[in-house]
Amino acid sequence: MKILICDDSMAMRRIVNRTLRQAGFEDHEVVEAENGKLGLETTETESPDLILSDWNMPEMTGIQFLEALRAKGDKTPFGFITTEQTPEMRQLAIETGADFLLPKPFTPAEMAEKIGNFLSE
Amino acid sequence: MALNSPNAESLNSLLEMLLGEDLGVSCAEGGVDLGSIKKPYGSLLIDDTDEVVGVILADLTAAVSLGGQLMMLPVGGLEDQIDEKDPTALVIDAVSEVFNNLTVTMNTIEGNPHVRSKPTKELASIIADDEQDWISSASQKTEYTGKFLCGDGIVQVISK
Repeated sequence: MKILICDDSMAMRRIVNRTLRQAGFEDHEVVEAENGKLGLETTETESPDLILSDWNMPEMTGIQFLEALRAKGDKTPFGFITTEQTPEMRQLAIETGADFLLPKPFTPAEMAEKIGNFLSE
Repeated sequence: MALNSPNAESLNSLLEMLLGEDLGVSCAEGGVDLGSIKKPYGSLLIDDTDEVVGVILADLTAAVSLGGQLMMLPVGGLEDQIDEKDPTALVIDAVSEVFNNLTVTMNTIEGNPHVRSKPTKELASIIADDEQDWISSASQKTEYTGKFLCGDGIVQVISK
């Protein structure tokens, strides 16, 4: 199984990667992208099984990334990892086609609970 | 709109979740004196209309400590960065993430505008390049002091 981590922060990509391992997903392959535009390109070339994306990113935001993905008919499971937690943003994410939001800060257990169902073989 | 700062308990709780340790920082209100913090780094806080409403600052020790501890970097290397006054891009990127998480706490305070943080930079660069002269003449700050991973440090939240 392959996971795409899309975040403009190198530190955050490392933290998500580390938390994935701590949550028991150390056997999964991880690919990374620095913004939504590169995330879209990486989705085409790498065909990930799950996408974990930040909300606020330069070039293309997370919600624009998700919109573009769903507009192409791509149904890859997509979750936001973000500090953005207003009801309006949560609703926008779900209406656009997000499968879940994982609010920051998060623990390995919280990550496992959110993504476990999407990574079962 | 004035930005209310989190109390020490809220900040300690957040840092414990991020870093796995209660740093026991204490908090006090006071006047702004940028000269009292060594080589400060900061993130502007902007509201939903992209207007600047405040800034979070950390002195060099607090910035390197918070970023380095989040990334689980060895203390020796972090102390070298402080001695050389030259933190790595990874450490600054990581402290930016700490400040980003701090906005979650700020957004739960009743009456605060919804804010998000900009990437962390040296304060001198924020004031000069981003034309944020108001920081130098701001009147009130909330200051958090404590023993961080690499020594005594300061974090401040200044409302515009």
